[in-house]
Amino acid sequence: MMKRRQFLKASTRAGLIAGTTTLLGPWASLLANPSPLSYDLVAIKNSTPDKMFDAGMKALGGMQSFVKKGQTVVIKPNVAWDVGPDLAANTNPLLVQRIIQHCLEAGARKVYVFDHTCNKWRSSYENSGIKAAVKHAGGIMAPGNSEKYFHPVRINGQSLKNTKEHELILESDVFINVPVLKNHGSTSITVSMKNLMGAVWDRGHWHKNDLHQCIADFASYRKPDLNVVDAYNVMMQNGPRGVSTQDVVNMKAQLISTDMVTADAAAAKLYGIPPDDVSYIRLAAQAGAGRKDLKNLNIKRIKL
Amino acid sequence: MRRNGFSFFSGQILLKQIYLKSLRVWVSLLVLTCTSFVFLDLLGKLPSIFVDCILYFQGIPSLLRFIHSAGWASAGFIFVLLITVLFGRTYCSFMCPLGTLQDILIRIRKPLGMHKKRLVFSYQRPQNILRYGVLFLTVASCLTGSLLLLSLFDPFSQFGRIVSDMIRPLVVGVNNVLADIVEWDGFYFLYPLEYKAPHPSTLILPVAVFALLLYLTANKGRFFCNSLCPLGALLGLLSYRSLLTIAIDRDVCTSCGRCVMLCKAGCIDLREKQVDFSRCVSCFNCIRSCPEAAIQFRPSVLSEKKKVPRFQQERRIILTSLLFLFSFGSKNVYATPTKPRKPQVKNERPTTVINEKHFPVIPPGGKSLSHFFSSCTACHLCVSICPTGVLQPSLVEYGIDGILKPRLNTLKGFCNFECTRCGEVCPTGAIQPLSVAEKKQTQMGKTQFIKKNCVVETDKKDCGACAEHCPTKAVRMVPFEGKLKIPELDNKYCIGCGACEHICPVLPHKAIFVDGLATQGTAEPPKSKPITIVPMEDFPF
Repeated sequence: MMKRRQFLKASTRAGLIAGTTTLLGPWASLLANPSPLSYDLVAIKNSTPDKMFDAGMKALGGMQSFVKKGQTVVIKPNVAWDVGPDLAANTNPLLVQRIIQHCLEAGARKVYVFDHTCNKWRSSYENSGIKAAVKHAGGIMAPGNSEKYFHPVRINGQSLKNTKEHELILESDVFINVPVLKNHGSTSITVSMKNLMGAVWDRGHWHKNDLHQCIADFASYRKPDLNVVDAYNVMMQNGPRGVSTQDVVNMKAQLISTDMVTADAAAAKLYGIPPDDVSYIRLAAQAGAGRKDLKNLNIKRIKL
Repeated sequence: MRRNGFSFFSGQILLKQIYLKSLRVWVSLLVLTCTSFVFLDLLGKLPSIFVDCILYFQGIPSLLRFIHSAGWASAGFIFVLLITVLFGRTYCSFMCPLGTLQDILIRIRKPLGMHKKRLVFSYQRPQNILRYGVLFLTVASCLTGSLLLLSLFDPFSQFGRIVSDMIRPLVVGVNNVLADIVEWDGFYFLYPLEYKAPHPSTLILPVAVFALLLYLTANKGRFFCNSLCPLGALLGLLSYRSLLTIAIDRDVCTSCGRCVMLCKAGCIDLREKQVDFSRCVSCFNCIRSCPEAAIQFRPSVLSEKKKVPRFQQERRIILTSLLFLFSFGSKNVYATPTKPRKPQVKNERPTTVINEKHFPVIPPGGKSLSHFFSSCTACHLCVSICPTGVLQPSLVEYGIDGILKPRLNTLKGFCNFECTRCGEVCPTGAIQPLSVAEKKQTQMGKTQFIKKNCVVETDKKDCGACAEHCPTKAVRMVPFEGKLKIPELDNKYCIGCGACEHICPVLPHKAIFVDGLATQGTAEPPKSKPITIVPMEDFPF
């Protein structure tokens, strides 16, 4: 059943697309086919989050490879906790800001940022520094605090059959996943796939029904168009919330990939554990959600 | 002699007296609006200094605060007593939000169709047994250590409960409808607010009080203030000999009765040409209405000698009890509340291990059950502004004495680690203000882990939601049966915020839960081991 909001949006969009297509004529088909990427994974080191992202994008042919003119983009960083950026429990605001700027430069119509936070959403948005960064860059900070934003989707995974996904992910043209690499009490580390727990409404269901399998199931269902792993500051213990800055190591790294499994496998190695030790990475790779065999992948390594 | 007295207050000054009513209307509306804003500050935008200023002069809360920590910060009620001695019960018409609410109800009764003709008030006989009975019983019960009656009758708390429990859901509803309208094309200007509905039974009292006020205001004006309000009765006693009073000039009065028709308190006895100033709420409607300027606000020494009040006896008893209250109050004479009854946690399915809780969790800064019980009048300000909605009015979790007092209900949410809002706004000092650092170590409860309920034990699958949410790492995951991880508790770090319990996905009985403490303690600050890992120079892949 189509929701009122979706109907309004869909009809507006249909009109816009029809209009644009007519204007562009034969060239319109070019927009539909992004060129294949030159690398499976881009790993960058030794600079600030924004500069590392600039370098990574350059290697991948710029944001235009992912975002076309007039498209809507949704960015899903990790803003789970009501803590300051120094604890590295949330994605680095500078990185989020730079990604939005790249999207807008590539011609994005609107860039939304949201998370279904664990702590109070309003204070998490503010204290993480993400809200200010989004505002500064010209993005739109959208709420994820109410069930009304989440609509039922069929997953058909082993453990996860159904869930409710945020409408911005369902409706936006481009979905960029921007997790932060950090320690996690029960899943060892949290990166791209685990970050998508903030894209759905009922996380408790995942926790209750084989967490690792649910994460892998959802990873098979929904693949972001781009994953940018923030490993600038990495929380190495007491995760995922952290208790002090002593938990944090300044790793100055970043990973960019269209494949969540690849990004997470590489992140595990950065963190210092074998990817196979993280059950959901193993399960997702087995299910064919992505590739964890880093040896056989085309990796671009950039040291700044 | 008497004539001279009147001429003293005639002319210019008398002319200005007709503006007293306008002054009253504006001041009272300002106080009402500000107080309502304080209760409906759902985004926590008001600075606490503003909140303090607005609530400073609220009689009962200020008195309770003073009893526990005498000082200028809590001396607002002294000001209230002072102006009562000087000018009569101006508090009741200028500063009492429940009084202004009643004035509004009186004002709007016509559009509500409650009276076809213009409502006309008439003289009412004083309900002395009722009003001093309520006052006496309230004071007496306070002395025996129970604030139950005070909580039920205090006008500020009643107003608070009406706003928090009845108006707030409406505000949230309107906001959410508007938010829904404006954001249809990704224009996020208004955000939806969360409303964590309290237990329906906790709404009975505020709704009943509001209904009673609707009835009383439409029929008997400010009957509540003169018969059921203990603060009204107390201030009435003080206003007997106030410096200025309202009195009728017998020689000028033509007995036209206009003042009586407008007197919400029903305290003008035209037959005797007397004003019962102990029941006058100082609304000044009468002064404005008198075409002869026969009814005036003037020094009491100039007015006729009053009749000796019939209830001298009662007054003495009451004043003595009040003195008693003042002299011992600061030492917290309230008896320690009777051992709180075991909370009745209802369980739907006794399939797993029941969470046996001994005490409800009192808000951070509530110090102890005895402190909390001797200060909190259940005004629901903390309930109203709690950002996570974890603070909920209790039913009988605290026992009958603690009815409607706030507790942390972890089913509704959990206490945000960084938040100190409830202590900042609490007008009675029941929830002491804490710095963020203090709050982070204030132990409200201790946690218990029930392995037999835990999904890691029952399903042999990873979960870790509790440890994930624990802000102090009092709950951490430790290796269990191979590669699994199971929660482990260290209560010396636990602050009892309830995050673990709230997020624990198993039902109906949680695998981890917080049990309140009779006296709040201090938790150790969370510790981090130094990290020896040095970031690698090269990429490890």
